[in-house]
Amino acid sequence: MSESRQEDGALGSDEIRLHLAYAEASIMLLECLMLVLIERKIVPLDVLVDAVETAIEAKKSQVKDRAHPQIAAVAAGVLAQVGNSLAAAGHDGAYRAPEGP
Amino acid sequence: MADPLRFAHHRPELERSLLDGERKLRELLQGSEQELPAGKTLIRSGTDHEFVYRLISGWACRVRALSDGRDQLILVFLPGELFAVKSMFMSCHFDNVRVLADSVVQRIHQHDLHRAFVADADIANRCIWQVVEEERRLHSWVFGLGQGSAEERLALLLIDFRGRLALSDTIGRDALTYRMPLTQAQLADHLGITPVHVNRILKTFRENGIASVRDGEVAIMNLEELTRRAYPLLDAYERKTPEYVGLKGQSS
Repeated sequence: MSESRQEDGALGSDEIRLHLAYAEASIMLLECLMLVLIERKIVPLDVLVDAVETAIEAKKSQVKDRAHPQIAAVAAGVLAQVGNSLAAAGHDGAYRAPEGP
Repeated sequence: MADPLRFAHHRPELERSLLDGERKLRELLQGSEQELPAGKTLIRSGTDHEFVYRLISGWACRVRALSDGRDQLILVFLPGELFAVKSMFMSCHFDNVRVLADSVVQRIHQHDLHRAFVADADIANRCIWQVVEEERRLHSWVFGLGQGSAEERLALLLIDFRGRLALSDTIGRDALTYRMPLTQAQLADHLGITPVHVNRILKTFRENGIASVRDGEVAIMNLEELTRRAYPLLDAYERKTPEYVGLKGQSS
């Protein structure tokens, strides 16, 4: 058990800080990897943007379902920023999924 | 600061009036200087604000914040510019105005400025010009956010800051370095991308010898290439003005 954990089992501030750091590092790493995948033309841009939009929809439905609504709303905002940012990577000849038949 | 070049594509018959309006405004605002620390919110969204400002030194911005953590820096104000002109006409500001770097501003109560505005066409023209100029930049920015790539947006921003700082004589007309107090997170909030993406583009610019942003200092190593990357988003005025694109950039 972390020293920072409270007697009632609630997370202490040190532990919360650690979790926040992991969360922040994870989203940054994920975004960086997605940018690399786009730049190297490994995954089409629109497929990645679509994946982020799916995650946003999932988060928004959590808000509707009252599942951690305050956190879910902010998480949806973070994902929207990532999605918009990724979309802006795509004007310079980024690899896009081939048109359908 | 009273250089007619600052008034982009003004009608020649208005030049005298704009220059006189600039001079008269300076006289009106004289003695009202205030120092403001970086980070201060000067105007809060949803409030009535009674003053109109001129930035003497430092940087400020108009910013809208959402409760889910998304912020958009809508406009960045640089030395010599009037801001919050809408205080004269509107009883509510819809966005925050925040100080980005330690700044000195002058201010005037909207009643006093409105009295002068009504009485003197030169002052009215100068005030309206500020709104026209902001509209020009906002149109470019909307185009950039809608159609520009992240790289084009960042290139445009570095060129825009250079041009405006040069035309306000904050830096030399051909200077290729300038102080820029925006953090990468603030740049991201202005460009509509994430800090990770800003960092990645800056790394590309640095590695390709185009520009670097480090410790609040912008150094443009290859203005021609930076201009080439920003070119789709530059408007007709910026494309022809050496303070923005340099002498070579004009022919890009």
